[in-house]
Amino acid sequence: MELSLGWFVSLLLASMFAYHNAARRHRVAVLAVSSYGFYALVAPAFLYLLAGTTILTHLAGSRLARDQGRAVLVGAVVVLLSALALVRYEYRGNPLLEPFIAVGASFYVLQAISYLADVRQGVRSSRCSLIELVVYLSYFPKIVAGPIERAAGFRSQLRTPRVVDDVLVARAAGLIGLGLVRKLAIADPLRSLFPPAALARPEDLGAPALAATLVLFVVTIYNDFAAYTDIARGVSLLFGIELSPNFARPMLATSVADFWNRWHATLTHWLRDYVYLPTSRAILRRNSSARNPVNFAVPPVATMLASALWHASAGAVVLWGLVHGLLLAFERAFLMRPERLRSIAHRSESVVLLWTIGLATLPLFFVDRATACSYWRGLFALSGSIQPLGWSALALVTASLVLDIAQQRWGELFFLGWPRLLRAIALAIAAVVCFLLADGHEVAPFVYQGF
Amino acid sequence: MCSGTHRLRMRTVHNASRLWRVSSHVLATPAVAVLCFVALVSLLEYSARLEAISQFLPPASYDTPSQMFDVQMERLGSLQRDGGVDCVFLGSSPVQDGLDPAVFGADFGERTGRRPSCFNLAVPGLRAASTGMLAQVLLDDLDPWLIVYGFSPRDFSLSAQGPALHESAWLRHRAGQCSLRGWIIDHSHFYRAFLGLRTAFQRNEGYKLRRVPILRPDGFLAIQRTVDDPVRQVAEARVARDRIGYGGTDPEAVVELEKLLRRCAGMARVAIVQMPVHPAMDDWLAELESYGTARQRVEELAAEFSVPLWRPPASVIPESGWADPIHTNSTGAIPLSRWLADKVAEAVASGRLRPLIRR
Repeated sequence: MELSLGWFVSLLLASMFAYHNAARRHRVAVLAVSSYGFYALVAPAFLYLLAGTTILTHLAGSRLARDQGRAVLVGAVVVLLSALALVRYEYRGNPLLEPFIAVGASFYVLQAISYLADVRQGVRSSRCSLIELVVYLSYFPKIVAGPIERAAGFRSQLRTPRVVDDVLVARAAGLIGLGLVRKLAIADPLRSLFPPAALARPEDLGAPALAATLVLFVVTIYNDFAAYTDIARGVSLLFGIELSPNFARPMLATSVADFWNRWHATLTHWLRDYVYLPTSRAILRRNSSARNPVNFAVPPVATMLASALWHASAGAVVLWGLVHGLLLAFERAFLMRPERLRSIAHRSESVVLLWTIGLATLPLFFVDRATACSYWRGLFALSGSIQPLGWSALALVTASLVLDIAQQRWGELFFLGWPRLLRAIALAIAAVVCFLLADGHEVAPFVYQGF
Repeated sequence: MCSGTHRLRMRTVHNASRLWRVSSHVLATPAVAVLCFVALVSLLEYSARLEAISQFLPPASYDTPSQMFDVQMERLGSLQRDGGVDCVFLGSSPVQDGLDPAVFGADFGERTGRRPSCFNLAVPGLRAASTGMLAQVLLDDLDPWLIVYGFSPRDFSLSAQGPALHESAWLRHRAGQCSLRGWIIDHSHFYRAFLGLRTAFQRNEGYKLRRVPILRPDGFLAIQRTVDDPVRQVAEARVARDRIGYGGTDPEAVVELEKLLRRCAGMARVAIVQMPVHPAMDDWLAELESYGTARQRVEELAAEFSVPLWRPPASVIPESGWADPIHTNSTGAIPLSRWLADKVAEAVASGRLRPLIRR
């Protein structure tokens, strides 16, 4: 389960050497061997699940390519989801505290489903050979926690990867560096500032500390997951394969829908294509009236419920999904109409309201229902002692926000355009800051390894 | 010729299919960054060593759970720079408020004609395992004439709460369990300054401790209050049972004391003092099995390594000299420190401790 940095770097260098020195027709095989080698190091006990998923997907995909039978698709999806549900039930734990033992299963099962759905719809560019499918599902830079790729785009990159030149290496290094800064200098230090009582006995904390904890929670998870994605994308670029971005400054979102388009975007897009749109189409086929509340309420609720179930099957998380689905429906029905949008003041109020509701539902996500109730009691009682979380937390949240604003304004890798000396100084400063804030402690596992 | 052309064409085709086309220019930025890193770290380290800058920073931290320790180390450092430290008192709070370096130094000076420069490095709640390790570090760094190792009823207890300095990366590193982090804390003023700043951001006690008027520059904590009804206080403490641990004797504490004494065997530079307690505690202490075991083990070690072990009688301290049943106030610290100075002077005269030679 534990993969040391030394092991990972050794595997990466060996894979790069083999990949870039292999004949063109053998490159995909090199990636397949590297990916299974990586998985054998991180989760050897679950290689069977990965291999079984791949074989089932390949067989079902071959059948679907021939006759596009609905029963085959439904059967394969049911088997895949059941297998995932069984493993997650068998090895259930708190996803925020410990990595999921069947590493990456929640991610590659979604990719397998999207592959089958695309093949059935006749998307020719999606159809993979067995070895391509092996790499699509197990590609080691992304297997642990995504991004959730689509077969068509990934296959075309496998067949014609980009030339790895100075520019691409600079981008890869920039992404990896950015990921390390987010992880070591923001996410992990913020995580260590979490008041332990917030998860166990929230009633012991005052309302200000509980409210601040919610903000800390969001910023920590965001930076942790964005860090993982940046590193995965950077590592993948070294093989000439561009993975999809997962985050687009979600803290700067202006609506709930905008937030979900910016947060874990590959999951959001997956849910949009395979839950939201099919549900909408099915409902519209029955009743196409634009005023029918079912038309705009059911698809977002179904989508967010699916999202909640993907994260965890606990009742509290399902409730969280329901509330967010209703928020999306509410926003779509009342707040996003053009005549409303004209009023900036009204829009600002809405944004504040939606953020408040969104944050307020968060306890459902990380504690059970009973503790969540205690959390809300403490949060809205506006009583209890004021225990500020300190200047460190404020400084780290501000740093995250400043980084987001810089990326929003000047581009994701804005620093690559700087003169060399300035870049080198920034790199040196980042190294010192990471060293100081990482503080010699072991790097905490990425949060989304828990899903 | 033909073969050469073929090879050239093959190489061209091969290069065209190669994905890796990275030139050495890509290493330029990392190379400059390494130089910048070295320059930056050097500049920060130099700045942290400047008095003009460090005086505005919170006390440098050794990343231990005690900010009092950081403040004490800062004061010990300035005393060392001002002319060296001859004698260090180590232990927990009963030592910090019981042994006054100024009184001890003056009395010893009167007796022997040579006045030592003393510092009280005791830290509230310090456990004996930490004290033993710390003493060994001080021997290396300061090479003092004398280390007075004071212990009180709670120090050897496994269940005693308090800052576990002996679990810190720095002290572990100094005790031989080498680590990069321990090495950096030990050597880098900048890193310690950063740790101090970080601690100040989280709980700003360091600045406050620096300004506590009863904490004197020589590390002595001059408590002013006087005990009120010690019998009742002892009864309350017995009910709470949180002042003295009942969890048995800490084996690591005994090991560290043994290491210290073994290292100093034949050097006559360590003395052990069993800190006195108020007579109201006598019955309770008699029942404390863990303390009895610890005292017995300390006696055995002291005898084995010929180290002076003294037990100042509680009668040395007047009733007005107690702050509570375990701690003395500044009034009680005076006779206790004089008593100790007399004992040390006698031990020096008899050859059990080596004489003070001012550097």
